[in-house]
Amino acid sequence: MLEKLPRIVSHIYSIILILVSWVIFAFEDLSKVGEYIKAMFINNLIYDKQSIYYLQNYIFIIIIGILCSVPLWKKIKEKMNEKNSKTFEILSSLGYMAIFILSTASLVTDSFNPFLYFRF
Amino acid sequence: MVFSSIVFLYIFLPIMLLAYFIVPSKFKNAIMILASLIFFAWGEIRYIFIMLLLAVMDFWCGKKITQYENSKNKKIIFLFIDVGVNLLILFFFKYADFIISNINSVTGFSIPLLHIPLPIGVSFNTFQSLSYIIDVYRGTVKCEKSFYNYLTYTTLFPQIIAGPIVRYETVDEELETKNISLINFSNGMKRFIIGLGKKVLIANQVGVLWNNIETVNYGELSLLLSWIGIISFALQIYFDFSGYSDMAIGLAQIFGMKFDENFNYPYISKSITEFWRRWHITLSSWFRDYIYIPLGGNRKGLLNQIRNILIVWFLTGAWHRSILEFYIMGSVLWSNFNYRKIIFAESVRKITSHCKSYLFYNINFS
Repeated sequence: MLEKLPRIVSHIYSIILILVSWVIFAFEDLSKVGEYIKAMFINNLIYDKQSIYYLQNYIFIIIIGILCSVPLWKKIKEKMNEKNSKTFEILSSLGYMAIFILSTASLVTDSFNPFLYFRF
Repeated sequence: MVFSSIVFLYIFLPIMLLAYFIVPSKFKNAIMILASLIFFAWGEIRYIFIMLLLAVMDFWCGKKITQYENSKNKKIIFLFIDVGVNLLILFFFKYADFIISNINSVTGFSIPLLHIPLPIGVSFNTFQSLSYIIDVYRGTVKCEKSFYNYLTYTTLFPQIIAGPIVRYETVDEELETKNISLINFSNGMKRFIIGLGKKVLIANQVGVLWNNIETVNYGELSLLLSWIGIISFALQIYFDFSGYSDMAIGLAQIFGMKFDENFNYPYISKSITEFWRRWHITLSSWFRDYIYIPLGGNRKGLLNQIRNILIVWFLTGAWHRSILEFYIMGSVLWSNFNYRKIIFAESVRKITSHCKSYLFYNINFS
């Protein structure tokens, strides 16, 4: 436990630093950066209707995003490859197809498909 | 053209794949070049000619350097020509307006801005050309004998938009003989689909959320909302960028080439240093191998090392025009310290951590 604790602490600490760094990156205007960071740490308004609304609508995709940022899928794949499971082969192939179809559908219907690299 | 578009997925890619796999081996590069030019010309017709001219120059300088292998004075001239012209073009596109507006604000002149949009891929193209010419100069790779192969390398469309930065030494053999197989094809496809999903199904979705929260007025922004917002931005930028890298790596694999990895789960990092080792890996290793180490790295004493770190900080920051990378890049280089070789290791560590927090404090609250 003693060994584990600092690792978790340093992980949380890094995540917070990274998120604060993203604030700096996200806004070009330094005064907005300051305001935003202040809102994250010193804020009387803890939550309101608007935040609950966004949380309810987006919590699913945020959780998916977080799960996909850790090597969860990679580990499952390695485990299954060891077992040489045919069912897994078939299921994962279906999964890839589903991702492709969903992506196509999303590209056809959503207009939001930004191009972030013009700055580089 | 971008990968995550219907035109690319349903017209460009199928036609290209068909052509690529039915032609005999020696024509595969021709298909690659043609496809790259079409892909590129889709939005950036102006830059194509510059890119082709640069390719001719790189190729010629590479040959000259090899020809004068034993005469340091002569071969260095061609290194300078090639590096100079490449950098000049990058600078012109990236910083012309920035410099003009600074001159205007300092002197009070009103020189009109040029308003030239940055051509897509110009940065990545420069990084690739430089890695080629510097490696040829150092003798770590042999110069490319066929212009046909070199042109394939420099136009290579999977990486042109957003990297990863592909060094010549990584693909030199595959420019000649592609490693085509069914297993590479199927793994490449899977990798591409994963990347597409990351970009379209995650990045674009949380991107909408961030766009909404970003514009909320300060004062109406609750603590909870600010955290939801920045988490969604963090997810957007990671899945967008790494999604593009996955698609590029997957495409290359389909064509029988292997690119270097660009991301390694950055958000599981336990320190900022580790984060930068897992984020945009091909960029940080490029700066390490072509700037930091040639300048002496950490081998010539602490003062020189600090100077080298500052130079790399400045360049990285200038490239991104942002403070974040400037800061993170600095930390990773500090981490490259070989503590055991420095006598006062502990005190150095204290100074560095102090500098880090000082810098960070400054950026956040200035």
